[in-house]
Amino acid sequence: MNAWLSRWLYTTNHKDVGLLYIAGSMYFGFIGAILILLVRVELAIPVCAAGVSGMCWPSATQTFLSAASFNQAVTLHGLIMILWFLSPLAIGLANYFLPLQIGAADLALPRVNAFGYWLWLFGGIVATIGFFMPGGNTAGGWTAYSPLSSSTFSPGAGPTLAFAGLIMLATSITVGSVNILLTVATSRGQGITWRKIPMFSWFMLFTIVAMLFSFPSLLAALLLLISDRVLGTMYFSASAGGAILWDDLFWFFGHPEVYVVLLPAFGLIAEIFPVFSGRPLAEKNIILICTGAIVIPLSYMVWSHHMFLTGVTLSEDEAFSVATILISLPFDVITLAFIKTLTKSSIRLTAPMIFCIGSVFLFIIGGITGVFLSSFVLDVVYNNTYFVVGHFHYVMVGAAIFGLIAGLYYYIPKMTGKMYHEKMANWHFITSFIGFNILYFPMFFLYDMPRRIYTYQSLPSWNTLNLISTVGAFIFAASQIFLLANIVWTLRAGKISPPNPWGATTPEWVPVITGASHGAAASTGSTPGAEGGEHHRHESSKPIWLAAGIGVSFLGLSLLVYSWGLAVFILGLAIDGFAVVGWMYEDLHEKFHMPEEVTERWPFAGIHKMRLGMWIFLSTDVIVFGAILGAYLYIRSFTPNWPIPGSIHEIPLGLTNTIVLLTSGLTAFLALESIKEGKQRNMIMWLCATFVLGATFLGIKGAEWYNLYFAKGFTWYSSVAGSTYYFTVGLHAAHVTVGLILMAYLIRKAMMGGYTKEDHVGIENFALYWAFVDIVWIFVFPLFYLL
Amino acid sequence: MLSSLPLDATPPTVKIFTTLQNYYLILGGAAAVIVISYMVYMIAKNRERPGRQTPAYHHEEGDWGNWKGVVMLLCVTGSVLAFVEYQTFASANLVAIPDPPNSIQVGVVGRQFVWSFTYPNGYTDFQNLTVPLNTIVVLNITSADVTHGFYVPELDVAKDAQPGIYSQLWFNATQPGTFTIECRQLCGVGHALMLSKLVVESAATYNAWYSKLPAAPAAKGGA
Repeated sequence: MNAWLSRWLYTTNHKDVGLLYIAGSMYFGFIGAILILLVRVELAIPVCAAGVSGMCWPSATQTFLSAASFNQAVTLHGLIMILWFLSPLAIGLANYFLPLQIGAADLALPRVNAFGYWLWLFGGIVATIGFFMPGGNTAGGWTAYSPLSSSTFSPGAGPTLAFAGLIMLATSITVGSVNILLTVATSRGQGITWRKIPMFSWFMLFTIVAMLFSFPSLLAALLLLISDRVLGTMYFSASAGGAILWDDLFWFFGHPEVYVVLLPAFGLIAEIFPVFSGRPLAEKNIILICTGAIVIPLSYMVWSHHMFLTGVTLSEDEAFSVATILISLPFDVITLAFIKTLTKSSIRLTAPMIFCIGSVFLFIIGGITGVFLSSFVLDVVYNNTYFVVGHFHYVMVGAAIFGLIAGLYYYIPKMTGKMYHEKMANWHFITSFIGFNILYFPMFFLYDMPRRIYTYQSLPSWNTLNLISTVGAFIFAASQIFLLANIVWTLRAGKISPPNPWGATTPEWVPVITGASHGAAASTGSTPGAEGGEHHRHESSKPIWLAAGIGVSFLGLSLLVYSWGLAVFILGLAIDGFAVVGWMYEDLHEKFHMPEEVTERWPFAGIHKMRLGMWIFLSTDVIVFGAILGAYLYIRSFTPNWPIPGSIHEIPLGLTNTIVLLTSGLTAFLALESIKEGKQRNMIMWLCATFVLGATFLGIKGAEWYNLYFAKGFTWYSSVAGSTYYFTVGLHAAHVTVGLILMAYLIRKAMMGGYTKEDHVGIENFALYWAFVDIVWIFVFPLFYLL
Repeated sequence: MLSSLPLDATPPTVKIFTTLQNYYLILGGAAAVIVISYMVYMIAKNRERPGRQTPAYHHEEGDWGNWKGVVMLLCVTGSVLAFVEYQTFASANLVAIPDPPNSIQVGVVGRQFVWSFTYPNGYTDFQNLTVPLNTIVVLNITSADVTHGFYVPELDVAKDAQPGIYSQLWFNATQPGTFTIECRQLCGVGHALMLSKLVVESAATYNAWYSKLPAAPAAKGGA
């Protein structure tokens, strides 16, 4: 294959993947922008009153966009901009610069990183394919409120495709965040203690922690939704609590997501402000404490402020209102610390600095309007109006995008080795800033206009403000051409940049680490990602195949309504099988090898990297199961006439199966103990025993299901009890199946002598995973069989 | 919309909202103006320019920097926030449902894409919500399909209508006339056009209208 193409498709290098993320996110940003420009054209003018003509659409059915197209456009604009543009742009910069900042050779798991990228990209493609389905894409808002998102009210393959794409995205983000967290914990270069980690990396770390437990909640919600849509379970449709269940699961993800979008930009500001002010960052430690110890934990405790109008009790409103207003306190401190950095300084107003100042400026407005929305009384009027739209665009577009663009300008000399065009960048800021405010400030005065209405009756106050806003949208969108032109110009005609053009002191500019491979090589300004011999060339074709296989199988899953959907689904699974076997083959034969380096890893010095990774991964899985068991209990509390224990499930059989699974937990533990003593044969024997017991568990489960489905007519589509049972137990069985695949690999590797007394982390990880599977069952069994 | 009402006839819900909003607007606006002006002033003062001496920066700060300043900042902003939050709590009667003896209870059901209003005698109206002037009206809101948002801009009241859940809101119309009822939660293609009328009549007109209503037509179902 063409060397250029194979480099970009098969790369696992963190810089290459970073650039791919940046390029990909810009592509999706472009799509999201086009969608919203269509929306703004539609909203620019009202619908004509009877007998009037002029600056208005002739009638409610003769508008620029139909209601259906409008709803799809706003929905996908939200999804794409937040999940396929904003976050990935930050993840791209983090991919590139976090390892450099902490002196790591690469991310801890390079192939997983590449897999995350491709899964994200294909997820975006799967989600956008929905537009071309009959009936169009999902159209219920980016929040996909249930039951509007159910197949009853949003039929067709389009919405299913969008939700499948979201599942891929949530999975991608989860594995990506495990990876970055692991890198920071275990792969720091020598001398990079926690206190020496630069601010951008700290803020990315906080971002990751905000992602780590929020995306699993989204993943759980989406799995339930897809299962409702494709298999016909009844989580969101049949029960009275379905609507609130979705709200809770979604906003438990949705609110931390706000900080996921914002914090990378803050990290860049904390990086750029001191460099261009010629002085250290003010109150660095206090900023870190405020973000890490207050913002992140609180971000998980305020989600219900999105639900003030859903009929929750007054005391609940009050509690969440107080939590929400508390979260503004650390932001006061952070913002004012940023501003304090501007005192006693000498400020160079070049593009990165100007954009950072713009970001802080707009964040102040976005943040203060957020305080308005924390009031459950004011929210009665502001909820779901353009006031909210204005507020969160000031935060997400103003603070976040301006900060990320600042980061792009700041790092372009590093990524390309060339200097961008300063004048063009200045014009980019001026036009963006003006366009932005023309676009979003009028929205604060539209606080009585519901959002997501595709057209409106002529009303003097609305007409003018909407027209102004649309004009601003076009100015803001057009001004981004300056950025693209600047990037093209830099690549083609930019002057060679000195290695450290800004006089920064952080490790990505001034390598301070001895022994790390990247730092020194990177600042010479050669082509990105290809610093010759200094670089470990580790390519793998498996990540892209695995991601493509998942993409194809989700495509098939969403298209099951067509006869050929099943074929596509099976094709996807086949590709996945090929990729998984290939991935394991690479490992067995050490085709893919990353040299282990001496790294700084306090306080995880005694813990193997992979074991820590497994711990972090399992903690996200706890959230998935927690959300799903929570959903079960919640729905059950709303459903009258739940079957009496023993009337459906055979408790003795379930108990037998429980004992089988727990025994397999014991044998897995014995396998680990054997290898700890260096007894390889014993280990293989115990692993085989575990495999047989695991397979027996699945066999008994299969028999149970067969009996339930055919003999008792207890199906997942006939009752809520059936839905919850099959879904939860099925998800657990899927975990058991994954465990069996892992075991097949472990046994094969063990037979080749792959595990020794000293090096047996694979067995250790498997034992951990298997113990987790057992523990989940200990919760599932009584909840579904005995209660 | 607010200015179209004479001040003495401002509905109580509007009065509560406007008073509360003013606290937030004045304090929030002041905070934004002060902080942004200070930032812009600092940038103007400290920007690098020919002939300007770079101020000597002293490492006077320890690890915890100016923590006293931070505590002071927290006290000041904390007090302001506590004050506005207190005002919110004090305005909670906008959402708390009063229970006066002569109030009128109306059931509201949202469905794609129309509102229906069911009166105590069982009569269901699919067009208008008709209420008497200067009377507390309590709405019992739910949905027959997807989530809708019941919203009367002129009265500053709103509540989500959700399937299987009954939520309440109250208002007291102090001005006769016809006002728009909107849907504020995206509910499908007809969302923007899911509009109804709130008709406020004098007590006498209302009673005359109400007494002539057919009682609970079986065909219409109601809530």
